[in-house]
Amino acid sequence: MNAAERFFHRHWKPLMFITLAMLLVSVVVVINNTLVHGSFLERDIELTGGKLITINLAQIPDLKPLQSALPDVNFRLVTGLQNTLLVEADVNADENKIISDLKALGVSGDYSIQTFGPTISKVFWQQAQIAIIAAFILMAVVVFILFRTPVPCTAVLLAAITDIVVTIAVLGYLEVRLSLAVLAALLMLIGYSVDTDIVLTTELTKTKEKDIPHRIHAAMKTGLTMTFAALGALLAMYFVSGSHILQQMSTVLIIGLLIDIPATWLTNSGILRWWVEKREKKQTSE
Amino acid sequence: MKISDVFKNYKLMLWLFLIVVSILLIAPNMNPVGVEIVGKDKNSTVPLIKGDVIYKIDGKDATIDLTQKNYYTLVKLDTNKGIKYVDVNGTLGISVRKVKSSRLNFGLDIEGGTRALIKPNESSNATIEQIIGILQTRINLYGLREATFRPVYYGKQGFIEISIAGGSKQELTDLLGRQGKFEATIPIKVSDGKTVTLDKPYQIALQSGVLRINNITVRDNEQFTLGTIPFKAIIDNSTDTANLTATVFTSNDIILVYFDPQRSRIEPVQNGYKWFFQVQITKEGAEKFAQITNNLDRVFDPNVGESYLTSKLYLYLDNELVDSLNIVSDLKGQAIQEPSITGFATTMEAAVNEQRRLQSILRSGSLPTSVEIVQLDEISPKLGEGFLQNVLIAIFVAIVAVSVVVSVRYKKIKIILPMLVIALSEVLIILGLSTLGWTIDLVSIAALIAIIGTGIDAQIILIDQALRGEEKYMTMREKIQRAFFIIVGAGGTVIGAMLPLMSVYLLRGFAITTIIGVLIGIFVTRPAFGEIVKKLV
Repeated sequence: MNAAERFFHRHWKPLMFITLAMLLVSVVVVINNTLVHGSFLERDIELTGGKLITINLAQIPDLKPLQSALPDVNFRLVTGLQNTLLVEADVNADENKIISDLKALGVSGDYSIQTFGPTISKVFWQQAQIAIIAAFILMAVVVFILFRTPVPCTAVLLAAITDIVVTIAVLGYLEVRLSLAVLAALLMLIGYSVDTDIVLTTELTKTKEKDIPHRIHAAMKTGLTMTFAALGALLAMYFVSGSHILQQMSTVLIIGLLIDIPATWLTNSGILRWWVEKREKKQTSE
Repeated sequence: MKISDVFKNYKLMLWLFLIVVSILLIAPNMNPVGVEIVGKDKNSTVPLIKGDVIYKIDGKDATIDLTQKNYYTLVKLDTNKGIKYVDVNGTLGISVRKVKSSRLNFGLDIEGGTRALIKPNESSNATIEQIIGILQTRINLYGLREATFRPVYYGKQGFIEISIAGGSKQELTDLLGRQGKFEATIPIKVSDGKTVTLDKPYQIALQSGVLRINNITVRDNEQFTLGTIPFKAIIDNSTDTANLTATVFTSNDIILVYFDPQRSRIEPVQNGYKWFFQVQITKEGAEKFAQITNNLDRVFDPNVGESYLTSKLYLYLDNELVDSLNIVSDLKGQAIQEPSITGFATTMEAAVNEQRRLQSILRSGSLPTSVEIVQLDEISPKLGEGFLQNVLIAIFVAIVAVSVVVSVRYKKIKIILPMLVIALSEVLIILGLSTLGWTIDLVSIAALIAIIGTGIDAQIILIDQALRGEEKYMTMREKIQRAFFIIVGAGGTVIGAMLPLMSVYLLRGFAITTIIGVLIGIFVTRPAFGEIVKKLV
C-alpha cells in the first residue's frame, strides 16, 4: 500500500463529505439558476424558440464588430477542428438578411438554419422535464431490482444524483446552455455513473473472503480503468468531431465522469463501507 | 483456441453471423458513381423515374451541377437503363443526389436538406393521416422532390414531420403552399337567340360582340352567376358565339373518391384499355351538373361506338387544366351523385397511371385544416460532407484513445486486441441494424461513441472478473456470471434512462442507438467476449 492508499483507508469517513459538500453547493447553484432563468440551466434556443444559424468558418472573425453591426442577434463562437459561428436570432428575424449582412462583413461559409417556433419549444421543454423525471424513476427501479436492500440502493442513487447535479452546476458556470443534446448527454451520464457504482456495490456486498479495503481496491482498479477508457473515447469526440453538438455532449459526459470519480470512490464507497462493516460485525456476533 | 472450437460455440457463431449480416446490410459501395434521381418535374422529358441512376451526361461524369444546367440540344445520358437521348430546351427538370456509398441512412443534419415540423390546427389521427395523404399526392402530382412524412404526437397534440433530403425551404413551401383548388367545368356554346335553361330559362342575345343574358350585359371574361351556378363568359367576336363556362363542382363538392374494385376498374377494350372510377359528389354539385348537361346535345362517336355530349368536362387544378373527359350521353340532365369518370389509354400502364392520377387529384384537394410550421431546419448539403469524414476520424481516434488506456492497464496484446475487435464489431452491428429502420443523425453518432465507451467498460469488468485469482473456489463460469450481473445491471439502467427519450422526437435516434447498442452488448458481443476470455485466461 502506498501513502495515498494509506491516507484513503485511514480517513475514509471525512473524505465521504467532500462530494456531499460539492452536492450541497451545486444544489444551491441549481436553485439559483432556476430562480434566475426559470430552469435548472439556462435554456438553449431549441427550448425557448428562435432561429439558429450555424456557419462553418474558414477563418475566425472578430466578434466585436459583428456584434455592433448586428445588435439584434447573439453570436457564439465554437472552436475546434472546425470553427463554427452560431448566430441566434428572434424567431421572426429574416435569416437571409442576417446571412447577407454577415457576408458583407466578410463572414461566410456553408451554413444551416434552424427555426424553433415558440409552440414547439414549449413542447420540447415539457418533454425534457418529463424525460428527466421518468429516466430517474426507471433508473431507480432497476437499481432496486439489482440490490434489493435500501442502503446500497440509496448510495447508488445518491452518486447518480451527485453526478448530474454537480455537472449541471459546472455547466452553468461554463455557460453551456440546456439543449436537447445536453439533456441526452445528462441522461447518458446516469448510465456511466451507475456502471462504476454497480461494480463497487457488487464487489463489496457479494465478496466475502477478502477484507473490505481489498475489495474496494479491486473494484476501484476496474472502475477507474472503465472511467479512463470512457474518457478517452469522449475526449476524441470533443476534439475531433468538429461539431458543436457533439462537443457539447462530450463536455457534459467528461465533466460528469470526472465528478463520478469522487462520487463513487469517496462517498458511495464510504457509505457502503460503513454499512458492510456494521452488517458483517452483526453477522459475526450472532 | 482452434478454429473448429469457434464453429462449435453458438455464442461466437451468433456474433460472427451478425457481423456478416451487418456488412451485407450496409452493402458498402466502394466506388459510387453517378447521380440518383429523387424528383422529376411534370414537364421533364427525361425518360427515367425516381431511383434511376445517371452515370454520364454528354460523356462527362454526372454531377449535381451538371444536371441543373440549361441544355438546348439533344442530350446523351448514360444511365442504369442504358443510353438515352433526351431533347431538352432548358434544364433536364430533375432533382438528383449523389449515389450513396452504402445503404446507411444518414439524418438530414448530416446529409443536408430541409426538415419541418408542422402543426395542424386540428390534429385528430384522421386529419393527420389525411394531410400526409394529400401531401404525398402532391409530390406525385407536381413532381416535387421526394419527402418523407412522419406523424409525431406529444400528448394529444399531433404534428407532422416532413423531411426533404437535399431539399430547400423553397421546395417545402411549394409542397405546403399548393392550394389544391380543384374545379370541374363544362362550357356551353351559345349564339344569338338561344335559350339556356337552368333553374329558369335565360335568353341569350349576342350581336356585334355584345352579350346580353336576360337583358343584362356581360363583358368578355366576366364572371357571373345564373341561378346557383357560377359562370365565365368568353366571347368570340369573329363567329358571334360565346362559351359560357359553368363550374359544376369544386373540391368542396367531392365527398368521396372510390378505390374499390367495383367502382374503380380497368377493362381491356379494342385497341387498348378503358379505365373507370366513381366519385361521390354533393347533391348541389349533382344538381348543377344536371342543369348544365340538359343544355348540351348528343353526338355519336363512330370510333368508340358510343354517343357523347357536345361539350367535355374539364378538370382544373390550381387553375391549370389537368384533364378533359367525354360525358356519356346517358348522363344528360341526370342529377347523379355518384358519377363515373372514364378514360381510355392504349397501354395498361398508361391506363393505370391516368386513372390513379385523376383519383389522386380528386381526392387530394386542399388540406383539411390550416397548418403552421413550428420548426424548420435547413442544412446545407456541403456542411454534411466534411462532417461525416470528421465523425469517422472521431470514431477512429476514440478507439485509439481507448486502446491506449487499456494497454496501460493490461499490457497484453491477447487481451487488448479482442477488446478492440469486439468494440469495432459492435459499431458495425449497430450501423448494420440501423439500415433496417432508423437514420443515423448527429445525436446517434454521439450515442455510438458513448456506446464504444460503455462497451469497453463492460469488457473491462469481464476481464477483471476473469482475472481475479484470490477465490480458489470460484469457477470461471461463476466469475463470468458475476461479471454479467454487473453488465446487465448497468445496461438496464442505461436502457431505463434512455426509454423516456424515445418520446422526444429529436432525440429518438440517440435513444434507439443507445438501447440497441446496449442490447447487442448484452446478448451478442459480451457473451462472445466472455467465450474469448474463457479461452484466453
